[in-house]
Amino acid sequence: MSPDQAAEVGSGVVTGGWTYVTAAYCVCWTVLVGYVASLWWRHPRGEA
Amino acid sequence: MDLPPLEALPLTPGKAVAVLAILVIALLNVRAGRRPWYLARWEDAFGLVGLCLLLDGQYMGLVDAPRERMMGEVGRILYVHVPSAWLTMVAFTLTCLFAIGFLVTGWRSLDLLVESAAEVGVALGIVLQLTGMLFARPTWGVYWDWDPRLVSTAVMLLSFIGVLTLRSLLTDPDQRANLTSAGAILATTSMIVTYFSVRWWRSLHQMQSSPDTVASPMVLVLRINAFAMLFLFTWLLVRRWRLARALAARDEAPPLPSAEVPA
Amino acid sequence: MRGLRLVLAVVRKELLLEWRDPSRLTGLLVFSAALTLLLAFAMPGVHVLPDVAAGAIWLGLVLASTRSLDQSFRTEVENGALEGLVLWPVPSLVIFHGKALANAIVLLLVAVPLTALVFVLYHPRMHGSVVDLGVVLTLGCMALAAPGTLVAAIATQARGSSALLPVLFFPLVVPVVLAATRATTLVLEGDPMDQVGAWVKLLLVFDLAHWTLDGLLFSRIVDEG
Repeated sequence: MSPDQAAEVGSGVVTGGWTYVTAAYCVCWTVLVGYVASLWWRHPRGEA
Repeated sequence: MDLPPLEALPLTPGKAVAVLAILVIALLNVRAGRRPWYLARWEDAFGLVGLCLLLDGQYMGLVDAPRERMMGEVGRILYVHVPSAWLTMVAFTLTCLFAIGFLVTGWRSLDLLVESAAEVGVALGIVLQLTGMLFARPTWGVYWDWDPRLVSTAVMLLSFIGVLTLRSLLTDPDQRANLTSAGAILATTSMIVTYFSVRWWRSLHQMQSSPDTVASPMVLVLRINAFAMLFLFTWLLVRRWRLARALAARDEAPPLPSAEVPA
Repeated sequence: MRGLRLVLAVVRKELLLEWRDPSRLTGLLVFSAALTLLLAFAMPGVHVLPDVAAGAIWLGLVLASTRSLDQSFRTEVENGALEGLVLWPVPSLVIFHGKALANAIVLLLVAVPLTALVFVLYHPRMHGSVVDLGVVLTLGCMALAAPGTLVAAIATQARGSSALLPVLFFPLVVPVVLAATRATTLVLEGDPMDQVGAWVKLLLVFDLAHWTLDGLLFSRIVDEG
């Protein structure tokens, strides 16, 4: 266990972790945008 | 469940744009004429409001919300994770209800709604599962744990992906409708049973958070994000339903290849 | 009572088919035996084999059941529809319960020699009674057979059914594998905390739910599908 991790365990509070936060928000947007794109992609052309 | 007082709802640019969007869409829908596909229908108001609320809510979640007491910055993942969990449940509950409704009434629209709700549910479920794993890594130390909610979500996702696969492999519309509905009901029941059986097996996950156990600034941000997801979900569901209807109409009456018709 | 007689008639017909063409059953036995052997080689060492014996039994049964279920509607399915079934002069609910019961019996016929083989190859401890083991095996096989029969009826109507069947079947039987493996392990290794009852109860609830609900779904998709 590294000193950093030991400090985290010591206080019981998770410190840092912005990487995971960014990743989570990116996942949300990627999936939503991807799904909307797939809706658009699959729409038959020439009608509403 | 008291709603937060109005003063607690700061008027941010996101909410202002959301209110404007409702007005603009309402006006556009009153006017006749051809509009781009993403602004053509009543449900697009839901989509636009959802988008604005999501931007607003996520900004609040990332910047305004205080650090969570125990989880620190990582707690901000909850503003994505929890609403997606709620809406995934809503989506699959609706799928099951539509499926039962279809088997009882036989209405074609309900069959298309089963397909739509299941697919939107899978999309939201992927967000749920991935953000859940990203939340688990810093808090539990592992991406995956054999926790009842994780396992049953994964099983549920696999089941509904299976149902959609089944649907894509069937061509006869009546048969496809019947079998999809049966599969959707099976998938829902299996999800419930899986949840309770894995909970018996082992339980480690914290209990579901209710507004009572969560600090009030978190509640507000959570609510905004939840409503954002709800609006977006409505938009996606109706949009997907229109797509299903357009595809069904195309399959029922394929356009004649006029150039190749022999004289 | 008439319903029960009809169900037994369907079971008899299904088992007669098995009896006339025993290559199916022997194929299943060889399949599960080979799987037991392979699984032992996939383990880190022989010392863990007693601990994974229950898992080997149930993994073998689940995989074998996908093969037997895939066959279970072959005779009725012509041109990708279950038209053969509609022509039977009995209610579809009866057909479902007959088919599911026959599938459960076939699975039990695989389960007994498979368990014996696992005992020979994996040397599990045996603290419980043979009767308890039999109860768990029976309940587990029935819990695999009912949803399996329904899923087979659904999957055989689609193109590429043998690939689709596991996709629909495996997520559905996660609780069965979990509960049956726990219960079997507790029977084999002894049950000081008296937990086996909870797992058997879960299997019972699963059986009850699926033997009733799946029959209704089956008759719905066969009668109007």
